[in-house]
Amino acid sequence: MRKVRHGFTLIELLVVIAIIAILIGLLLPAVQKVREAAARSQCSNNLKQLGLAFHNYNDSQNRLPPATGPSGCCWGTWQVPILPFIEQDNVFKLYVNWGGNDSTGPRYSGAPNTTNVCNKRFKVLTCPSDIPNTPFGGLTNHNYAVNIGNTGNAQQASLNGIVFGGAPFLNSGKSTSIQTISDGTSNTLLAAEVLQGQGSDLRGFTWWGDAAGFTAYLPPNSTSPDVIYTTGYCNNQPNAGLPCTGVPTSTAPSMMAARSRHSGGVQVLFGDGGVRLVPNSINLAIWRALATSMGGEANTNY
Amino acid sequence: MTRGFYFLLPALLLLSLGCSGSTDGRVEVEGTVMFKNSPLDQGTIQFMTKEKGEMAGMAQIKDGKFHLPAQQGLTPGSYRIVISSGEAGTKATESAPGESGPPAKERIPKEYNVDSLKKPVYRDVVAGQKNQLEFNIP
Repeated sequence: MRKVRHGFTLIELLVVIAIIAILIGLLLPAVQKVREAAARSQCSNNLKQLGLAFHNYNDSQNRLPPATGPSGCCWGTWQVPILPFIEQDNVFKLYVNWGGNDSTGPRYSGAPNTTNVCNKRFKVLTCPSDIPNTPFGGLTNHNYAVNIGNTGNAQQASLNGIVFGGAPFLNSGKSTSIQTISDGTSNTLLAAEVLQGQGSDLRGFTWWGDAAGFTAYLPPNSTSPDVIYTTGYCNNQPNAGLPCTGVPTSTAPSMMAARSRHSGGVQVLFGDGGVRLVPNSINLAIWRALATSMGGEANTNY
Repeated sequence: MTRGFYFLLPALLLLSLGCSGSTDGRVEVEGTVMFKNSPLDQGTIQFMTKEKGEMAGMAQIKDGKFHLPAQQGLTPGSYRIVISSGEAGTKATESAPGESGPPAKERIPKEYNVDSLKKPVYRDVVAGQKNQLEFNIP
């Protein structure tokens, strides 16, 4: 009697392996997409939390925090006073000399702030789509910047024909409040995503004044360069969505645009707490109208 | 076969229209900038609308070339040109990122930037053809 052998031929095995390979090939891109979709929704949730924090701050102090403290760049930005409102009160208490009341006292970049506060990475201020970076001495970059209006970092009254139309966050150390946003809170941006510069690049270095805010002078995810104050802190990577120049001039002064790694646009936080995706192809005039808090523009639909 | 092709053609045309619609009528602009007979190594070029004088587009100049893609390009019309390039390396890198300080010294003649309203340089951007702008700055 012939022995019946149970088993698979080589061809059958190869066919099965090929089918499995095709199925995995189909599945992998889908997994990647789901991963980016999850990261994006995490990013938008972070913005939403930030919106709640700004509203709670406004309710308890009757004003919004300034973009940078009264002494300028280096004694802390909005990111410090907002800490108690994102459940980081313990870290907030460790920050010394915010606003530079003692102008010879420690800056954001001096002890003890460097080891107690500015070296920490806050998850709620970090977008998982982006690559985390520490540009300088272990101090962290983050992914959200506040709206400082439609001209440059210095909030120039006018820049190449663009007239400053007010902003919810000021660089002079002065505060505005949600009540003074006369364009309407649902037509005015509070914050937007920015990308973390890589290497020693200072974009996203929101502990420091210049990087604390974004401007709508440039469109979202602009192919135009961000202008950083010195070449040593500009790592020009146009193909990675991070074009920059390190030589500011009077007609192209220091400024940073809203940027993200999401396809097609940048997520923004409105004054009413809404989080939306603004497409990269938005009409520049409308994008600037969304950034002004008292510009009086009629059309802000996009 | 041919009938199928004639059926597909309008569909393809519609598809391409749908794609170009997102630029809102804006067009791609690119070109070269020569400064003192050699390509300008670094700088920016900005385009101001003729009517309101508002900045409508900005691009980086690198090794004499600039490029503005259609998605963030310009609507056809006449634009006042602002070209700016500072003297690099005028500031030493500090121990920690600090004050921005005053802007760098401008290298490009004034009519291209700070005095561009007094002696404007205009260039036209047109639809339906390649916009190649050449600048030769003495």
